[in-house]
Amino acid sequence: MQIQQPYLIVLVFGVATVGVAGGLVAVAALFGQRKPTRGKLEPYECGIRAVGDARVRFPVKFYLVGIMFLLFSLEVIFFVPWAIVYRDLVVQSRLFGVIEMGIFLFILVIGYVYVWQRGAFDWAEAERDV
Amino acid sequence: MLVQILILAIKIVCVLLFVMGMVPVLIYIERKLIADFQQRLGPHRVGPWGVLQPIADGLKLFLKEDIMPANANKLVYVLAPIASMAPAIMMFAVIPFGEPVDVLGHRVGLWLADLNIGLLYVLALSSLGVYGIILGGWSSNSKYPLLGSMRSAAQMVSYELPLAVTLLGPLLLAGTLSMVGLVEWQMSNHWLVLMQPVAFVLFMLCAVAETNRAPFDLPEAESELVAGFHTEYSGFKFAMFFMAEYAAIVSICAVAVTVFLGGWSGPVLPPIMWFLIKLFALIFIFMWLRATFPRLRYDHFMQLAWLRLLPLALASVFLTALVLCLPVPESPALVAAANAGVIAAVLLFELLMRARRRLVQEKG
Repeated sequence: MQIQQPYLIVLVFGVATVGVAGGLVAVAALFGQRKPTRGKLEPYECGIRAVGDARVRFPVKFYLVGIMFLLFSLEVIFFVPWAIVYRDLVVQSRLFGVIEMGIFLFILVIGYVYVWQRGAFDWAEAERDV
Repeated sequence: MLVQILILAIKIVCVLLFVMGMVPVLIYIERKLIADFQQRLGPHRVGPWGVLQPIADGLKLFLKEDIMPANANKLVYVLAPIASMAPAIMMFAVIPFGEPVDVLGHRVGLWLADLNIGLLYVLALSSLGVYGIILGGWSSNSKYPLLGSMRSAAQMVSYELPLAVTLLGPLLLAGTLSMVGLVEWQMSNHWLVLMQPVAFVLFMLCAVAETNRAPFDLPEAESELVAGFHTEYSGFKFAMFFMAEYAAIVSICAVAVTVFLGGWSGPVLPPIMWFLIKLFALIFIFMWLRATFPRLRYDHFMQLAWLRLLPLALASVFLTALVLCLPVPESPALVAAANAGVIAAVLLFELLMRARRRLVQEKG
């Protein structure tokens, strides 16, 4: 039990948080009236009758943003251990840390520039159809 | 052993009460502050100076009818507010509020858990916060929430990258991910904001965008998308999304205070007072930004994240790394100057681009 005490505390706190939030939702469901009429149960579309449900195709640019985030956040994850041991790297050999990580970053920057030129960063957010 | 469990239970209760209690306080302060900026009175009828207004609002939402649209996915619809609120509150597990104190013979730190990967835990939770928004919008089974939630999620996810990269600068300098370790490093050296001003400004910008606050709140804007992902929510679940947003503001400001502004360090007052003073200063800046700037257009703020903030943050980190290589004794002035150099270079580049564009327009 004493091996990873901080993590255990975080787990207990997480369970407590979810419990409190869930308890609040449950208690609030007890109070409050429940008078479902047909008008209240329909989805909201500014006063007109909604046509179809929301399980339609939505633009693929959101998916692209997710993929870009995945790629670059994996890159950032590789930066974190480098940043932590950086001081020791500098002590051992002055520029090695920067150059090595710079090469890694350079390879990813090539990908970044490619994505930029292909327009994933403009179109993904262009306000045309949405 | 039993005393330790008791102390832990008291700490958990205190932190939960703090976060839940900050939400009505923030709601009131925000309404009063924005009213002041707009030269009008805020809430002033419900209690003395309107202090009972957020409680009245909360009570009203509590007692309102809980409408669930007929074709919503019921289970996910109920779970989404919880999924939105839990990560924002769980971030407080690692935030240090003050120096260790002596309680009943035990030395107790004013934090719940000193994870040795505290900062990574914070980043992970901010990524988890996106789930609640997507689930809320998707399960509502209606077009406005779906679009609002997708846009909000894309925005949060895009700004998480510069957020994470700006935190690399302090990591280079302090060499530890532990939040308590960062505060202690800043107590022995200087506040990290003095060495990393660019990173601090970028972090604040990304924090404002992460929490969907104005001027980045297009996915919640009423004139654009009704109410975004919480259109179909009513009653207490709506209140929970609201509370989740304010809890996220407090969390991320607390992270900024810990990483950049020195946590609990300060001369005369007790440390926890300093923490709260700095926290409220940053929260004031959040509200100030909301009152001052118009809303950014969606494609503008996505471009801001990917094309401006991310390269700027990476450049700042690498310049800091280069400066740390130099065979001079480390000084905050040098590192800050390197950071300022990044800003100067970017501004120069931007000016040159604008001049070129103007030349092209005048010719054509």
